[in-house]
Amino acid sequence: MMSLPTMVFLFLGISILVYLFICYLGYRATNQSSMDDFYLGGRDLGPVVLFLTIGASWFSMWFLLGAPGSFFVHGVGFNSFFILNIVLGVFMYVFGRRMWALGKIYNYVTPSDMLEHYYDSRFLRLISSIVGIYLLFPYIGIQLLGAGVAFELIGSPFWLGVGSMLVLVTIYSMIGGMKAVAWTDAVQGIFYMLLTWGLAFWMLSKGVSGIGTLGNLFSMVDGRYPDFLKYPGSSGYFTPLNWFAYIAIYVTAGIGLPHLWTRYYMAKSMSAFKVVPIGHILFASWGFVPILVVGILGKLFIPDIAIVDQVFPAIVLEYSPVMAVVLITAAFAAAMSTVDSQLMAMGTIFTKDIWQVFIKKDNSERTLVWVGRIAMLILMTISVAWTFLAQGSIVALSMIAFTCGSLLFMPLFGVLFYPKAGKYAANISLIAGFLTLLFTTYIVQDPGGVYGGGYALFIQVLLFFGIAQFEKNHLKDRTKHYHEVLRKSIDGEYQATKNGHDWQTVKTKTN
Amino acid sequence: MKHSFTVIMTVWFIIVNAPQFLPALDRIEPAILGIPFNLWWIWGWNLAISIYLIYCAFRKWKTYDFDVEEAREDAFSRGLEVKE
Repeated sequence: MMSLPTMVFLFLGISILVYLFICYLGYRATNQSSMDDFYLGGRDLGPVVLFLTIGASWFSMWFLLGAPGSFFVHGVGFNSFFILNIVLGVFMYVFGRRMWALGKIYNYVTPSDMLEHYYDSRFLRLISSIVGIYLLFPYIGIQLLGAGVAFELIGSPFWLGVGSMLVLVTIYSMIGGMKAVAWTDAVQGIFYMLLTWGLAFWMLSKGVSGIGTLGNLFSMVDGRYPDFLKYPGSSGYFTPLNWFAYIAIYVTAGIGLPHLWTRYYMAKSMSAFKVVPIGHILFASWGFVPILVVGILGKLFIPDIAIVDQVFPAIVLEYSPVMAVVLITAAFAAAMSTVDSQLMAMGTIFTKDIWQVFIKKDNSERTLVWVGRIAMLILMTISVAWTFLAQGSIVALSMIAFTCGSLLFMPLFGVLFYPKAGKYAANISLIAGFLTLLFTTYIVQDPGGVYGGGYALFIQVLLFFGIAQFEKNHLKDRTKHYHEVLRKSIDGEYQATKNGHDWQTVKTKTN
Repeated sequence: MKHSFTVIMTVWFIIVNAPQFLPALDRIEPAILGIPFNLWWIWGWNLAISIYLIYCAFRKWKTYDFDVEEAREDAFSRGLEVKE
């Protein structure tokens, strides 16, 4: 029988060959001299690939390692994730469609492209790109951390996990471009989601853990840990305030995180935004069912585990080393599908928002693609340093990144729905929110037991709407026209054929 | 349609989160098939809203073919900067 590390390397080797093959296909399908092609996949992703790349980038090591650990610690307090992913699915339809239309019309590539253009504020471009890059360090760091944690569990060194992830993802993101990333995401997303469902219910079965049914599982955990199944859950952390703070932050982050924001520009057509929300709800909201099962199994069978983020692979390891190896391969897939997207986002933001605007404006597109590649390498190196310095669980660390993403949501809300807000409302509220986040993360953590990011978001919202009431928008007419163009786009007034492609019309035609 | 969609989503959101504030809903019994009542509360309402959203996606939500050149021309004629 092979040793665990050898098996992991064998499985990873096989999966890496598959990913590199997909990367090659993506490379072949990408015009390497076009920024639109390299960073946005030529803006022609179909609905299924789009929802899978969004879902796989949204989930990550955080989903396979962090979330079971959180159910393990917090019990049903973590149930808000069943709810918030449905709200996020609806937001993808409401916001995603509009972002896509604006991206098409004005050729936006990054989030800051949109914000600077709408608010006519180069300063806002600078701040939003700083927030956008800053949030990616902990986020990438989490994935690398997860890889290290998974390797440690099977007796391999932490640095080897981090190193393997680093080399592989950097290579295929830098070379392949967005199409390679999206296609690999789709394959990885399907792989780890199917595996998660399969493993959770396989372990639950009578022949494996002896439990047999969900009913038995719940009655066992209720017998041993009476607080586990009642709010606020066993840790007591998820009070109503924290429950809603998490919902608000995760939902808005799902729109505002740069690597997701840019994905809304990538759809081939508006109809993709019918499939994306539904796919996301099935994939993400219901995807937490097996994660809850795993968290409870961990609570019952390995209650004294020292690193809670290892609960999923550790419980699988109890029953089948081979399946644990497959899970670690899947966790790598989950992490890679997020890191590659974030690397692309980092490269894009640096190239478009910093290099092209503040350093050198007149580079050719080919040069800019190379600037992005080098930026990815440098920023990845910083993320690695961050990984080794980071402290805290995967979910706790991810909250810093998610909160930054949600801070970018408010200015976006102004662009899409709130013409009253001008550049001062957007700039001041974003800076205040960001500073509050830094304060509640590094100086006074979670004042009053409420997650610090909740304060950051609250202050931002307050200032955004407050300042908008008094601010004299010097671009009032321009703003009005911008919103009118957006409205006409969404209402189908720029249709190639006036008949449109809505389901009602198609149905009528068919009949 | 827009109005009823917003109302339905808001009502779902209030109902599904209600056990946070109503202890009567935050309980384990009566468990159905052994699954605690408060979990059924979330999964049941989530299932209902998921089905409703699938219905909306295929029957109600409208998306259109989009002539980007026409949109760009309109934006340009209104004085908005459009990059090629």
